[in-house]
This record gives sequence, structure tokens and C-alpha cells, in this order.
Amino acid sequence: MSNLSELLPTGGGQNAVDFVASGSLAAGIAVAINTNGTVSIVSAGNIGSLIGITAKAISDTATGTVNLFGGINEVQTGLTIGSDYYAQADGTITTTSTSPAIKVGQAISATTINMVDWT
Amino acid sequence: MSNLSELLPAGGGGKSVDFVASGTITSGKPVILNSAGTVTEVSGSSVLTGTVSDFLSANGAYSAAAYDTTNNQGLVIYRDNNAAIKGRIITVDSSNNITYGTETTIHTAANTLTTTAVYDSTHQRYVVMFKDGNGDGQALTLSPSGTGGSAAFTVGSATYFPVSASNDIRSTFLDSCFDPDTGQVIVAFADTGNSNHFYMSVGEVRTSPEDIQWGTAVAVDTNGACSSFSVTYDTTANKVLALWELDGTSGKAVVGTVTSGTIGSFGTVVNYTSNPYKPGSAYNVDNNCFLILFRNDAASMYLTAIGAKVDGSDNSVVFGTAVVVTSEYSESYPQGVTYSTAMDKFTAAYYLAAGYQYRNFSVSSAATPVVTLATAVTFPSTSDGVYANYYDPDEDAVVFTWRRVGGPWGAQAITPGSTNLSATTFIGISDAAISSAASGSVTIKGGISTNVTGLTANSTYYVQADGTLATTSSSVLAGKALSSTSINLDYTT
Repeated sequence: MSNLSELLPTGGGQNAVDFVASGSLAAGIAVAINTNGTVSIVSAGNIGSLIGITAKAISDTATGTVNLFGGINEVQTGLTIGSDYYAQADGTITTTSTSPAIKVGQAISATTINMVDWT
Repeated sequence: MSNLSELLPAGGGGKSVDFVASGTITSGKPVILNSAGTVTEVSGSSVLTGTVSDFLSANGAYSAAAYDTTNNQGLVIYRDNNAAIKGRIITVDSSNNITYGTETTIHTAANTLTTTAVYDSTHQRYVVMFKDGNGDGQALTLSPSGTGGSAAFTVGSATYFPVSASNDIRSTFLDSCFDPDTGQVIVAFADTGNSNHFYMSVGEVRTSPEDIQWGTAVAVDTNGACSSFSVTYDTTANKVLALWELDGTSGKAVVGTVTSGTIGSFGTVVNYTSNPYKPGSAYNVDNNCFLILFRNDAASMYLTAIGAKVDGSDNSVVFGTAVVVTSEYSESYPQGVTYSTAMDKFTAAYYLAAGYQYRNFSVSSAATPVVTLATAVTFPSTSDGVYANYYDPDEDAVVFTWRRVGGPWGAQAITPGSTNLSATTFIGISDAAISSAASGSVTIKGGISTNVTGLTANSTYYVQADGTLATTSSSVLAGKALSSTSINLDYTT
């Protein structure tokens, strides 16, 4: 190994992590972490536990990759370059910033969001 | 290995992304993200704000300003205590600080009203035009001399520019411009002796004796009562663009050609808006276009900007789409618009409930000009909305003169600065040099850029207007330096 990048997965560096899905998850939706370590689609009840965006579709109880805060999600569609995007209470990612939406990052292409760091 | 950054690839931390460059990008430089998805190196200049300096303690009114391109000095004139029109020469130094010359009385009378001033570079005289205490349209030439605190001027003899020397002119408002091609001054006014119709007069300065001789006033619009005049000279087409308001319901424009002692060959009169109040206008020789700023009394009295382009072949004018500058009531004072070749930007000041503001405007060179607004800057000092501006090309500064709220009249020179940088467009730092239109790698916000230079570890850096990284605070936080060559780019907000 010559540098850390060899340890990093593609698509978002060190902030792409595998989780078990609780419920079927589409690619590119906002997910929250549960107390048992699984992830579920964001809802009004768990948006405070928002952890990231799915990097691909994950079947219920299957393992799949989530791009965490600080990473890059590359599976969106129809983004407006330069706009800020927010996770909504139904798991969608839109430009609506009205509470309880939480900012997830900025579109750097029509399909890619540079995700804000975890604070 | 001395630190973790040595383990990271160039553009490390997994947040290195390829973009196509718009313009050449230097390695290790901050870049912005364009709406097309390309990136451009941050570039521009910073704001330089001089100190406020007062020229009148109180009780002023009806100011006007102009710039002397021969002696590199400006002029501010004002009514003092409703007893006289006075003026001072203004000198701006390289720090944008102001020195006033000797205050000199131009005209002694009460109840003078609307005022305008231009500099005639052919005859090297200022020409001051105003509604005098009798209501007449009077003009005086000023011959400047000296520099700095010793600068002064001598005043020539009065002449009158309306249809008849004894005709009153309407109070709302005068405007004037200088035609460097024929060496003549153009003044726009409403002649009260002729139903407040719109007239223009063309005059030429004489230096012996010292005065300005006017040709016969030319009727431009006899369809009703006219006001809110603006005249601007187009140095590419060698034409005058005139704007006015007719009967308080429509904003008119026409292009005319100046010849000896007169103006004519007018093109077709067009409506450019419904009800403009006191537009200000300036000409951009680089893009061959105008910026016009006016209070739109037909749309909630919001400040509105529109671009225009003149075709000298048939004296026609094309306007772009009007852009609302502020969705807020704008105070009822003239809009001061200037153009800076150095910045390739217009600058204008205006007064809102939120305070006195200025901002830069860009107008495209397209056949139908497009106006783009820069971010507004709240003026460093207070104002109650009465002001006049001019552009000093030698110091690349706009000199704003204004009445401070309830108190003295002052002036301040500001180089507005211009940059493509904003907190929303800053995307990261280039990992290597990228040729224009080529694809290259950028470490984006949230990553660790490892090919910058000259940083101090543990210091917080900000992106500056000119694209450098410095510890001087700006509106764009870059991040914290990890070493002299690496920086952890912040992306927490």
C-alpha cells in the first residue's frame, strides 16, 4: 500500500459504509440509522437520525452501501448544478429547505451530490 | 512519513472529482462551480474603501458631480442653505481617501432647484446647469485649476438653454451629457413655457469669454408633460440615448445625432417601460451597451434595471428584459450609475428602507442585452437618499456623494471590487493545472487539498476575492491548514 486511497471504496472515499437495510431501500434516498445498527428510509419520526444517502438499491435485510455525511453520492438524477439539496421527511432529496428538511450537500453534476461534513 | 497527508493521494481524502475547466486553471488554486457543471479559477479584485469626508455641515440640497479627465479630479456642487450653489474639487488618492479643494460659490440666489454637471474634455471646463431662483434654465462654465487642497475653479458668465431665456424649466429633473466627438454639451429638460414638453439643447463652451453658447432648443416630445430625463452619450455609435417619462404613465426612449448646435435625426421613439422615475444611465464601451436603472412606479416602486444597445445606422435602440433589483420600495431620488472599464462592471447606488446600498451590474454584449446583478453591499455610511456619483478611472474608484441622515453632506471613494467568487459557487481547489476545456481533478469541499503552498499549519484560511488563500476573513471559508502544503477544506454548512 502506498497511500490511503487504496483502502478507500469508490464513490465517496472513506465515507461510504455498508449497512443492513431495514425495509427495502431505493438507490439515492436518505436513510437514518436505527438503534440496532440497521438503516431505514428517513421519515418524520427518524429524520434526526439521518446518516446518509444510499449508494445503490438495497433489499430488506440485505447489505448495501450508504454514502455518509462527508462523502459523495453519485446516483441522483435531475439535479441542478450548484444548488443545495436537502433530505425530506419522506426520504427524497430535493431543494426544499423547509423544516424538518436537513441539508445533505450541493449538486456538483446532474447526478452527484457533494455531501456536507457531519457536524 | 511526517504526517497523514503524505499517505493521501494528490487531491486526497476521497473527494477529488474530475471537472471540465472553463478557462485555464492553475494548480492548487480555488475554483468555482459554474451552472453548466464546469469549473473556473477564482479571480477578481478586492474592495478598497476610503474614509468618509464631509464637504458641507448641513442644509444642503440638489447635488451633482462630474469627473475631470484632464486633471484627474472630480467636482461636487450643491445648494448651500438655500442661499447659493457652491462647489469643491475632489482629489482621490491611491488609498481612496479624499481631499477637497477650496469651496467656491458658483451662483448666489435662493430657491435654486434641480442641478446637473458634466466635464467638457474638449474645452477643459465643467458645465453646471440648474433651475435658478427665477425658475430659468441657467448654465455656467467652471475653469478648474490647482491640485489637492489648493484646487479651485473660476466661474464663467451665465447663459440660458431653454426655448426662451426667460422660460421656466420643470423641476423634475435635468440631465446632461458631453459629446466628445463634437465637443458639445447636451442638456435635457421640460420647458414649462411650452406645456412641460421635452426639449434638448446643445451648447459649446467658449473660453474667451468664459461661457457656453446654446443652439436653439429642439422639441423631442410634445405629446404631454415630460419629466425624469436621462441623456447618455454612446462613444461607439456617436449618438445620444435620451430617456424620459411622459404624462407619468410611460417611459420613452429615442436616439439622436448631435451636430453643430443642435440634435436631430431621431430614430423611432420606443416605450422601454411603463412608468420610470428618474432613471440613471451609463455607457459600457467594452460591451457597447447601456445600463439603465430606475424606480418602477408601475411596479410597487421597486428599483429596476434594464440593458440597452444603440444601432447608429438607423438610430434605433433595443432594450433587454427588465430585472427587478430590489423587491422593496426605493426612495425617490436620482439613480447614480457609473461604468468602470477596469472592472468591466457598472456600479450604482440607491436608497432603501434597509439602508444605502451599492452593487455592481454586468450587461452582456448580446444584441438584446442581459443584465446580471452582483451581490448588494450595504453602504459603509448612512444616507437619507440624496446623492450623486461619478467614476474616477485613474483610481478605479466610484466617488459617492450624499446627504447623511439629518446632518452633513459627505463623500466617500470606493473601488467596488469584482470577483467571480461567492460562498455558494466555491467548490474546491484544483489538484493540478487544467487547460481550458480540458478535464482535470479538483479536491472539493470536505476533502483535503495537498498541493497548495505557503500555508501555516493550524491556521484557518479564507478564499479571497482575487483567488488567493489568506487568513484574512472573507465570506468564503476555505478550511484549516494541516501543513504548509495541505488544507482540510471545510464543508460543515
